[in-house]
Amino acid sequence: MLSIGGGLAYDFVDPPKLVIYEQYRVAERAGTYDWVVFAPVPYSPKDYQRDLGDTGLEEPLSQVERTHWFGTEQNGADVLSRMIHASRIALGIGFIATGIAMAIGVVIGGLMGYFSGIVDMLGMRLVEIFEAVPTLFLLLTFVAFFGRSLYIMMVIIGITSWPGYARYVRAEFLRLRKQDFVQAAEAAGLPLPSILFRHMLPNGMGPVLVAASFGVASAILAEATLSFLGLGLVDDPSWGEMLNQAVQSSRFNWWMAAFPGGAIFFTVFAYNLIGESLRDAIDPYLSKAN
Amino acid sequence: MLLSIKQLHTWFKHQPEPIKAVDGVDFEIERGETFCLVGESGSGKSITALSIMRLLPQSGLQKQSGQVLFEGGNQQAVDLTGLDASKMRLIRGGRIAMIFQEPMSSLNPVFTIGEQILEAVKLHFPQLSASQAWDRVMNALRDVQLPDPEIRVNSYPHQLSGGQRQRVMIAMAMACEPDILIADEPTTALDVTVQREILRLMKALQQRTGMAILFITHDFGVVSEIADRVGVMQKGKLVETGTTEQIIHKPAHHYTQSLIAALPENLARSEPHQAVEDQQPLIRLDNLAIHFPVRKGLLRRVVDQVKAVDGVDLEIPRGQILALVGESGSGKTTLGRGILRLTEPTAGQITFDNTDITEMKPAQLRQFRRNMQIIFQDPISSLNPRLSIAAILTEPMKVHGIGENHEARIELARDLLQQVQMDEDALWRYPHEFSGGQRQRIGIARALSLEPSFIVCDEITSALDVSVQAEILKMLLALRRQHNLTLLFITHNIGVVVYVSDRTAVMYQGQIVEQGRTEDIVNNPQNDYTQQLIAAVPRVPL
Repeated sequence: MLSIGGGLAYDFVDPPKLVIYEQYRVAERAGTYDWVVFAPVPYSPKDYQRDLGDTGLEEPLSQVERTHWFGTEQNGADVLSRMIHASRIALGIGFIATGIAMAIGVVIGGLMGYFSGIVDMLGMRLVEIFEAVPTLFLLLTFVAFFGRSLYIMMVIIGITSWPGYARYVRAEFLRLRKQDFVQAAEAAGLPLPSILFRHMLPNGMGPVLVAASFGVASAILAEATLSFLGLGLVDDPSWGEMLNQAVQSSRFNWWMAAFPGGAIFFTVFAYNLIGESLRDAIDPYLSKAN
Repeated sequence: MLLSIKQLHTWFKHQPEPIKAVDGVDFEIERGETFCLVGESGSGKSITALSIMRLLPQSGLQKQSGQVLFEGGNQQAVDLTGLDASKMRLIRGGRIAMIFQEPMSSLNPVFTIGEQILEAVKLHFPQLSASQAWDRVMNALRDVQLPDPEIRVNSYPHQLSGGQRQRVMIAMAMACEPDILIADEPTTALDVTVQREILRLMKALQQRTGMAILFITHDFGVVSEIADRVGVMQKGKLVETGTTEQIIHKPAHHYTQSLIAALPENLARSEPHQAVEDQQPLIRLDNLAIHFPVRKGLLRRVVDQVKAVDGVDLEIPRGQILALVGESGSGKTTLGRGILRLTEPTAGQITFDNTDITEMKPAQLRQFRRNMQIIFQDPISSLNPRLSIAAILTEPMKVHGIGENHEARIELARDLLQQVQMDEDALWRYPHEFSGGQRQRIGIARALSLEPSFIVCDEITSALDVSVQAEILKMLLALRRQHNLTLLFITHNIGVVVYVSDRTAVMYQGQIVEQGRTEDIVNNPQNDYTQQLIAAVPRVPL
């Protein structure tokens, strides 16, 4: 499961290595292209304009010659371009970390809820042990020992945040266990996997999905926090790291704080909305108006 | 006239059409009389009462019109619909009191019952001194014959039984000496023996204080016990009013006639009760016990046992319907589930068709389950809301290898739906699209899908209206004959027992106190408890 998560993450999250931006910009300025629409952000996240003699820290749209929609950071790189590339990290870490956590949580929580008794007791102790692990400090420790890897971050956030889902699923399963349709499924002699995953799980997913949307949000925040503390990825931009850059400068450059901060805010907000509408969308009572 | 309601309309906002919950209702209540509003669920009985009290949230209403003229105390008649909120508050609780169906949720769990009654008294009689007010609370509790009122007054609601809580609700309502008591299904959640006491109590209080009662119920037995006049509601309209005698014996409106005819007491049994033949019983229980441990403390040690089923010996003859009767908490449902081993028995033996299934291993039991099925009480929770009817019916068949392929099983499912008198296009729909009665039919079809020989019917008609109940019972009898089924019919409704069953067993505190042929049990009960139970059943005089 972890390796699949890691593999997926590798394919989707790594920023492209090929840099063709410089060629494009030169050609565009020379008027080589007769296109109608030009690329709005002709900068790679690592096009440091100070290499061209610029000072960096330009306000948004302050230059006519080279347009930077969201301004530049102290090295002269385009903020908008960095934000766009950073969104891969934000979305990837959110989905994969939460996916890992949910998969573990649903299985363990489901078994606890269905079997109750001794299984439940042991499971709950396991849940409590994992809840006692401070995610952020574990992340810091791992970063200190094993270097800065996005994939390790995903896995660590995943395996420390499953207890929440396990609790939700357990509570739902304890409730559903006594529902008549589950009893009927049992009375019909259906095999255990069918009872667990076909009859019980879909009816107990509502709270888990809502929790998952918050989970995606908090995974994004965890990565942002880490990057903000300067322990994120070395070379690739991330929203948290950009916020960190904003406060390091001697004067307050609003565009460097407002845009990445806004991006984090709206992403987290959007995930919460998605969670709520997802719960409504998969609810058969709401799917067809009577 | 104490209360006269003229052209009351209450419509709820709904797209595309407003829901006409109350649609032009007129009736009047005299001082000292009991007026019963009867109707099936959704007929607008409760909404009528709530509209009178103006307890409905204004935001959800499309239209609220009509007059509610109230002549309480020594005042002029006032129209409650136009009264301003502060005056309305004085009338609510003071002049018109209301009690609800669910005695647990209508009392506040964090206050003692004394405090709750005292609050109502202080609000409506601010001139009383503290000790006078307290006397009034105690008197009210004595009036409703709560045992040990001096001690109980300091109890919290959860420390009282359902019947006692309903007495407290009545005491709270009566403490302010209202002119009208509106009772919304006050005995529906109670056992019949408790119901009888509460009804008697209400009658006695009425005779003493001369208050009027607006009694809302769906139970014609209760109606014939308590009502002076009756109003029958259907789809928001009052279709007929008259004296109790008239409504029950000479109903004029065809809807009332159909309701009366659907009472289980009035259903004509199409086949004679089957005689017990000397044959091997299909199910035999020997000293069956199901105990639930009560765990307490840090180490979850077992400190006590709840003996839900406590040594039951029972035989169910092949092809017969055995009714299992008893009050709530008597262990009926646990026994039914215990027989199917949905709840594990603690001791004793279950023999099904000469096979001992008590110790059967799970894998073996899974195979065996197709012989015995169960139909549940609650039509809402008994079907998985996320599966289509086709999936619900065919999945068990697939597991047990009935039908060669998917198409064959769908065909079988179609056939099952036909047997329970439903359209075959129901196959592709989901449970929430059906009414309670239809869901119960689907539940029956699901039980039949495995071609079992034994079915436990756990209060299958309790949640249904009488007319639907009548159809389901008729259908069940027909299916029983067609499939040669043996049924354990768990119920608390004696009318249903008489109509449906061949034999009856009466359960009390986990034990079978009496069993025998249904006619014998109902007409000539031997055991003390059975006699009490049978006598407490409110009956429609025929």
